[in-house]
Amino acid sequence: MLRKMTVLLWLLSFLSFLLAASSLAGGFATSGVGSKAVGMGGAFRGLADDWSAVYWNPAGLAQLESSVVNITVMATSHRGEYTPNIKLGEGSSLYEIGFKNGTRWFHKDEISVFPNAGGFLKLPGVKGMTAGVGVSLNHDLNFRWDLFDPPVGYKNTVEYPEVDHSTRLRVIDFHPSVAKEVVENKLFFGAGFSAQYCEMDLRKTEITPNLQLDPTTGDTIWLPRPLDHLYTDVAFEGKGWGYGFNAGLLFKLNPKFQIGVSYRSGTTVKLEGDTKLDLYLPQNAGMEQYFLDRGTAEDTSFAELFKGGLLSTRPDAELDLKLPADVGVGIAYIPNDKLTLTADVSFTQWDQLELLELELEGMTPVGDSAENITIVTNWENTVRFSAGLQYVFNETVTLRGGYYYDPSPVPDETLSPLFPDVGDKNSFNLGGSMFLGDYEVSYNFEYISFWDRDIDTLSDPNGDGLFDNYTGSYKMNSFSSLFSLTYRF
Amino acid sequence: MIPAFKKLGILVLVTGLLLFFGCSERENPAGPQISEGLDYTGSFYDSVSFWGNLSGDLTQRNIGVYTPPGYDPTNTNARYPTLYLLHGFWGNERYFLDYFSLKEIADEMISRGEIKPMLIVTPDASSKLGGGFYTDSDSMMTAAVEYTVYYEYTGYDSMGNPAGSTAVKDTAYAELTFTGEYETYIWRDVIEQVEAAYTVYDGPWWEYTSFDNLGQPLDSVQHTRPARDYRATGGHSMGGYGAMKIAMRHPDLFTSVSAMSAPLAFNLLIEHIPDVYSENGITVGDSVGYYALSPSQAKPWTTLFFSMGAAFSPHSLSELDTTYFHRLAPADQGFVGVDFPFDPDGDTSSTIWNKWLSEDVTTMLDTNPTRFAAALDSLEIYIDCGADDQFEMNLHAEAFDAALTSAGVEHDSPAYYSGYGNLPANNFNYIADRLRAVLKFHSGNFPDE
Repeated sequence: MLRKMTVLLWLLSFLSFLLAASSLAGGFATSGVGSKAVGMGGAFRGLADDWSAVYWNPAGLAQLESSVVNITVMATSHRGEYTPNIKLGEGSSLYEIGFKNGTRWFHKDEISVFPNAGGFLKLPGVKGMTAGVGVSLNHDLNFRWDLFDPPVGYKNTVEYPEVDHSTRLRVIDFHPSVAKEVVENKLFFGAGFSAQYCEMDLRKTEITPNLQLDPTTGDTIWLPRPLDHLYTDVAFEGKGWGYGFNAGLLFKLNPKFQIGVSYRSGTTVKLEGDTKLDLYLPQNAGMEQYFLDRGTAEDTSFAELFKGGLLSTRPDAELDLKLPADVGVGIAYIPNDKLTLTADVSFTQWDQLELLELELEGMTPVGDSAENITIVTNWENTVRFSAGLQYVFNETVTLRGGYYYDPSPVPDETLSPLFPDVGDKNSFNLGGSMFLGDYEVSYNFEYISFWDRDIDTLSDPNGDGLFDNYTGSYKMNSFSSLFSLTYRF
Repeated sequence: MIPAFKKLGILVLVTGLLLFFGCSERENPAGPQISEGLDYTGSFYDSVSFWGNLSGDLTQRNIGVYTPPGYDPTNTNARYPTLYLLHGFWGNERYFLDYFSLKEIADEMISRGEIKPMLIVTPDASSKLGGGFYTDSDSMMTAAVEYTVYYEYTGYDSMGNPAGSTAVKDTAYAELTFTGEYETYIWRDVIEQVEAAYTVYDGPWWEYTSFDNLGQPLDSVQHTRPARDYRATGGHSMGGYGAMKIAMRHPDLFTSVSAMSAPLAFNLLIEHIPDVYSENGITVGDSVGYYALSPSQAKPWTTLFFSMGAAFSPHSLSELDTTYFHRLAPADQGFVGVDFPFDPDGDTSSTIWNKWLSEDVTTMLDTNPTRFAAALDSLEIYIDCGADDQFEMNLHAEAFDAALTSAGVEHDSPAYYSGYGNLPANNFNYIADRLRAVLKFHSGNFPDE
């Protein structure tokens, strides 16, 4: 029976590896690291008794009774949907600008799979000291949407791309850490250095007023709808490194009760890459002929802007991505050998992420010097509440459950499908471990239910004349599987 | 030991099921299937309405005809309602098609079921001065004029297509107008030409119900479809004015009328006489400057007064020079030109101004409510305007709205469009969007099958 169950667990893990689903915690952070910790809803700062303490509270690493190596596979699948309702104007003057309003759209269903790993040694000759390195995916997004086509009447002669809004973000944390038992079996301290490698792709439709100047008179030309806007497919690709640290304390009040506190610094990742700017020109025989009829060389050249086609450039781009600091405190209550109860409260400083500014260096498709492109975020700080339990059935099988509540940092004024943390989240976790000699096989399944959100009003918080949120209805669920294998030696 | 494994098995089963449902592939809806109609722009035949006009405006006019998806000219059982959509100043038959994407908008709305399939006819009422204001300009004389009867093909290419033609002409006596009979052209010639060429609701028609073995009809049923219910007219700016006036004078022809940003109250134009002076850089009383006025696209108010003068107050050939006369042809051709409704001092001529007002829809309604209130009551009416109209047509809409109310005509209040961001809701910026409202309005007033 034990053998059959082991095989079944492996199969399930493999299934989750191939098919599975994942989790999106606050902003673009993952739910956390480690099957056990996530399985207890991330209420782990006060327990911190396995390798994933490197993420939650590095002080806990000093508790490890032996050296340990772990590999964890995360599989992530978001289940987002968005029904756009983006119109400009007001009252009876509302008009559409190309978003596929009124239809429920799913992002492309894709499963992102990423291994986390950690290895920590009980340092020989240094009592109570543990050191090692953890590698984990701390932030992850993967959304690709088909939401837009230039409006009827724009008559772009080159087909607009199918995927027009997308975000792919991966932040991998290489995290060497060290922990020390400061007071025997009472107080533990740990700290780690964080080198974070980030890759980010960002794609959106930039809708800008088509404010052209009359080539002859220099006056503003009021182009009739839908020529009053230009549509540019903006696609940024960049990668870079950022650096930070974390530190924590763990205090065991007595054999049944312990408390932990940890801090993780904010990190600014400097992303460097380029941005593809594809300007889809309208076709309008009336405007083209109007300028041709005026006959000057400038007018004739200007008439080219109304013949359709695509103008493309690829200026260099830089983006500072500010990852938030967080601080948390957790408790663990261990009433007996079988049961462990935990709870955490953590504060994440998302307000560091005010905007994403693509700093461009190069030319626009129409030959001007490229101006920066700003995505206003104005995110808000959040407080997450977590609770978990673990029950040891016997020396082989341990089951876990966990829950957390995590508000969305994204305000109505900047919510878009690019960062679809659509609402406050309730995360439910179920998992367990099997101990087979020196090996531990663990699995956790996580389901996150997001509160639905309807955005009714377009907002322009930075006052640049461009809207910074996407109105419509948002829904999201998220599924997550973590499979891990631990070897202790 | 065993019960623990059973519990673990249940856990595995539950999470496996959740995984399965969490990972199923979701299908996005297919994109909207837009069926395409056709936008044909073609020359019909010489219209007597323009024969021999003194200003040298076109006599053979193109007409744009949008036919909806599925239109089959050979299927005479399928009949379509028709909207006659009149262009604005400086426009022609391609105005709505080329500038404002009429075809694409109609295709989308018909494909989505937002409007009924309909023909949309866009006549050409252009003139050398910008537009004929859908008005029959005064007759100057009766004379023999040469007109084109038909074209005879003189050669063919290798594919058998005509490669050359000769106009076969004839001569007839006609009333020579100053610039043409634009009003008559729309309600008589255009409707006649379109209804002869397309399967529209053009009154009673017969459906064959049985055939002999040679396919010849044996019996038929007469259907009666009141053509008026399936005709509508509308327009933008000058075209909105034209549509309203023609519908008021010919309510037997149309079931609904729409006007976008239209000059519906000429009294408000008086206030723009100073604009004529200012855009020409002259001052009131500058008679030299006044008589040197000439139309150009860079001077919209000046050109508008010339164009409206050609429509409403062309200078009579029998009169010599007058205070208000503005020449539009070399002196050796006589006194060919228009009379402005104001003199060099900016004072209006009541005689000339009354000619203008006789074509003003608000004045028509105010002075003859018995006829025109009844006419308008029989029509469904839609009026809209941009709130930032640079020609203040929003005030015209308000004035006509008040006149309708005063005359007891049941109607909806005008819709006033506002701008967004840097785009003001002026005379034409939002036409493409307002066209949707106009098409929906007319479609909603065509009877359901």
